[in-house]
Amino acid sequence: MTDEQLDCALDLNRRLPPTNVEDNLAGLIDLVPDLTEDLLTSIDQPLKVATDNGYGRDYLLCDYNRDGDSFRSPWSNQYFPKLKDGALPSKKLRDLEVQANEMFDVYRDLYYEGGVSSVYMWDTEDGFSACVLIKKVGEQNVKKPIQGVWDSIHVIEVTDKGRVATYKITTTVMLSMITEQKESGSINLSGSITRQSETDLKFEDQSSHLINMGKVVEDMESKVRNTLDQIYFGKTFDIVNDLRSMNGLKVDRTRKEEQQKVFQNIVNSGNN
Amino acid sequence: MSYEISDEEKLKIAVHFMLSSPPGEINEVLTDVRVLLDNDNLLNQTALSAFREYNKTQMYATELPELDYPLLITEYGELSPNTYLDPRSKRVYSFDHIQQTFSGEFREAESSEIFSAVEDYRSAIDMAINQYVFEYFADHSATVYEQKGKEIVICISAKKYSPQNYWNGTWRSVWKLNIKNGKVKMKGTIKTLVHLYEAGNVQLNTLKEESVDVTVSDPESTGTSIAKAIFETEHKYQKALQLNYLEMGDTTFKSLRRKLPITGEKVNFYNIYSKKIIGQTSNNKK
Repeated sequence: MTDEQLDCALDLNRRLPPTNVEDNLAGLIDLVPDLTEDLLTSIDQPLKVATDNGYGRDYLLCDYNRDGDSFRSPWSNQYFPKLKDGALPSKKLRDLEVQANEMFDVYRDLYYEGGVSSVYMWDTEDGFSACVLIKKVGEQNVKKPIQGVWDSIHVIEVTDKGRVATYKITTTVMLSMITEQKESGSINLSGSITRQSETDLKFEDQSSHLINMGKVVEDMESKVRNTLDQIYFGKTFDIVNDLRSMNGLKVDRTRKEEQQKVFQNIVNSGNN
Repeated sequence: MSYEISDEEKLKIAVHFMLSSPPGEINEVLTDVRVLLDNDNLLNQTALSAFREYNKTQMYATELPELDYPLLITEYGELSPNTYLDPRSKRVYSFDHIQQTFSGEFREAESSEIFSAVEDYRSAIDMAINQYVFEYFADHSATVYEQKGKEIVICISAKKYSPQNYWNGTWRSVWKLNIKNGKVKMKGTIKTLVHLYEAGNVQLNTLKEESVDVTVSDPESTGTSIAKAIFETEHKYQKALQLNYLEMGDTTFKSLRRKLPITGEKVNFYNIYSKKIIGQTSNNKK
């Protein structure tokens, strides 16, 4: 019964307005409190930002650096609010985590030219897992009235297999574009897409893991960025134009027929 | 153990979820909600009213039995929770909200149920609007009502369902007309909603309020001017939407995340690691 309920909750989450994702999650938890932990783990939320005052740096909050109501900073490795015996990565993994945060900080700067990134790691039976988070809030002012927000959530499972390691990455990118203007009224274009991939890469030592994770994240983000571009700024508007034709249905039909004629001519001349 | 809310509060959440269903997906949402609520007795008590409210908000349109045009389900034509007026035929049709079809039953409207002070105008506007939606909306559905006080309400509702491709969408416009002192004051609300859900959940939600005035003359010419004014306003709006799309894709999106770093090449992680480029990033920028 619980499995079916979780499936239904996830299906529902794919249909409810994504701009209300936090309220949707709260509603789902209220409906099925027994599923709270599962829901918190499976349903992605826009990332919240906190400041590690000791280090003077921002970090991102998610389920993977949470223990109770406290969140661990990747910079100081401390929990805020303070927590006695909060879960920490092993010393060896923490060293890797520190380097990963530094490396993805550079990556973030190169692609996002701003924003905040955080990497959290935890030990697993046959390797370790890491989540790489990036959040960028676009500039919004009178000249740039569209508010854009990008959240990347990558979860990478790393399995040691001797000379090779398997990197299984599950990525969700949440993207929202919201604006209110005189000529075009209110526009809210929000949502997320999720992709997965698995790669085997050679590894010699811990540094290989860093480099491999970097490549895996970069490849995935490039692909997802393309998909977002096509879906958000292509497909959704194509559908609006399907609903109401800009040029009139007669003109659309004539154009389509002409296009088909041209295509047919190309095919025919190719066959000759 | 976490605090658990009452059954009534849970039902409210369930109904809220149903009313938030994207176009064409209320049955899937009902299935999900039924499993989560796990209380069919409770759910069955309100399912019908939830469907009714949903259908009215969506301005759900479907073909009338034995007539070759669709009727919209709207608050403007509702005479009882399951009967709706067709201003064109002056008949009252029964509608099954859960099946989302007309049951086939109808009766003639009573004189108390329809307003016809400006029927000649309503009818002319009806014809002109139908010409407009036939030419510009693939799913052409519009109903024109006369309401109390000679107000005319034009409802346009276009939907496209493609669940096999994981998308659905609607265009809904409602235009309220007040005929007074030789002028028609028109107030319009245009909404679009598009849902894409292949390995994700992306939704477009737009809302625009419009205001246009047209001069009154004979019914036929007035009907034509009104349809023309609506066509021009909706066309202008769709163009403005398009411009916004271009800006979103070209400017806003690019300023969130570049396609490639400024070097024009993918990142060399080995270099970052070996050179340990730490502390030289713009980590204080937002």
